[in-house]
Amino acid sequence: MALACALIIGAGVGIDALMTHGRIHQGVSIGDIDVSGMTVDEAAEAVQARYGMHLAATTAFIFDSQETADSADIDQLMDEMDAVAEQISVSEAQANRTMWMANAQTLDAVMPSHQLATDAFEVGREGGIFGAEPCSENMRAEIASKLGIQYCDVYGLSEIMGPGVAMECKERGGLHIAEDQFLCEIIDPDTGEALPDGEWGELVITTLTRECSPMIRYRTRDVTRIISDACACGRTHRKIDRLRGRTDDMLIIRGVNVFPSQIEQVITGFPEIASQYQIVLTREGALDAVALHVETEPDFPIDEVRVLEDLKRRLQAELKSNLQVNVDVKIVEPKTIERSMGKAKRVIDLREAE
Amino acid sequence: MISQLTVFLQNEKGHLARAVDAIASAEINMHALYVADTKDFGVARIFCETPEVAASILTDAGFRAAVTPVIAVRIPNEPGGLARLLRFCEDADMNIEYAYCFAVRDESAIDVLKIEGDHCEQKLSEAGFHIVDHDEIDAL
Repeated sequence: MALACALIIGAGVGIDALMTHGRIHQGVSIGDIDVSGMTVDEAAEAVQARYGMHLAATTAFIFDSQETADSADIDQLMDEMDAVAEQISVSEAQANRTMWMANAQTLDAVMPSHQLATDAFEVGREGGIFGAEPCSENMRAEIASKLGIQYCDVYGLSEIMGPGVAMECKERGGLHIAEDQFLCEIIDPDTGEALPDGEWGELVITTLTRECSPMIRYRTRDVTRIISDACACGRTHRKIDRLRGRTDDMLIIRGVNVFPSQIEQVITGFPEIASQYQIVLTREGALDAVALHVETEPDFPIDEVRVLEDLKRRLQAELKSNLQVNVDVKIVEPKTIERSMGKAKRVIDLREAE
Repeated sequence: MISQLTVFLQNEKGHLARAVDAIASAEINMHALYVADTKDFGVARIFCETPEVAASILTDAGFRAAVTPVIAVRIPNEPGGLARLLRFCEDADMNIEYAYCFAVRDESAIDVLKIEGDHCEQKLSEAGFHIVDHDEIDAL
């Protein structure tokens, strides 16, 4: 059928755009009409005005076989039909026809403008792709209920391609790996031995299609497992489970990767601060909060609050500029930071366990 | 200058009590206590007998304690006593970091001042203010 081919394209749909009630999101177009910000009725009207006329004026050609259709040269066929009609009777002409013409009205074809407008309205309202390990179950539920969409988790890492290595489907319960692009394995982080599907270990990724800087058995340091059960959504690509942690000491604070060694590096630049420190991670509402407990060196003047507050402020500013994360510095009494016999316990993570 | 005991404390339940307990167990008597508090921590300034001994006891007990030189001025325990002292400091361009006062038995009061800059004690003394010395403190 010669119906206008309408593509609905959504691009650049952000969280802000998700909040536009009753109006089509920014960046959505139907065919060549930008329907951003329109209501469904307005968009339907615009589509009708732009394409309805075309449809009404369109002649549809119906062929007797696929062969004719494939080789059809409409103008030539028209000429042939006219020529034939001049020489033979009406009944013969009818019997020899290989092509018929019809218009939209006789075919009962209508522009599905309202359906297209409704589809355009739904762009960005069905689901959202959110990639972030720090997102708790509660936060996911909150985002999904407040925006009225499904929350889809996405996994990725800058070394491979950024977000998109694996993504949750509507069935949830794991993220489908783009297995046509990546070969994923789970290994024992200590021995490097590959583990069978279902066992927790370190995710190792090999890029299958990347030509520029391919990654071969790249150790992600992310702890997960492979779920190979058939998924109800119909996709056959295996899934990875939600990440459980890291095999190194990297912390993910409000989505920012922070190594304790970076914090230690900043502290080293402050001779007033003793080398013992402790990082305490908590959750304030839906966000991570970081406190850094430090002690002053014994000869640091403790008599003036101003001096202590100033030290705290300077350390906080330095941490912020180095880590891109706000850290609440707490100067504590000496020896309150645990000195363990072996490896010091530098990080106390009190964030809710998933 | 006389010696004041300064103790750094986390602003948490029981920390001041523990510090005071440590001083008490060494049988050191306190004359005055003043705490400057912030959200996270407090600084306790204590006027007591043998502040050096108290500081070392507290340090051994795990506290961050120090002895801080401050100026103590004896003024008559009457209206305007402190005001006169502070007006002088202002006129003499002395900035007071912190101050606290306590009354003593003989109808006078002792004002303890931490002042920025040098020779403050001398200037106060020359202006006729009664500067308290160690012996006087011991006699309290």
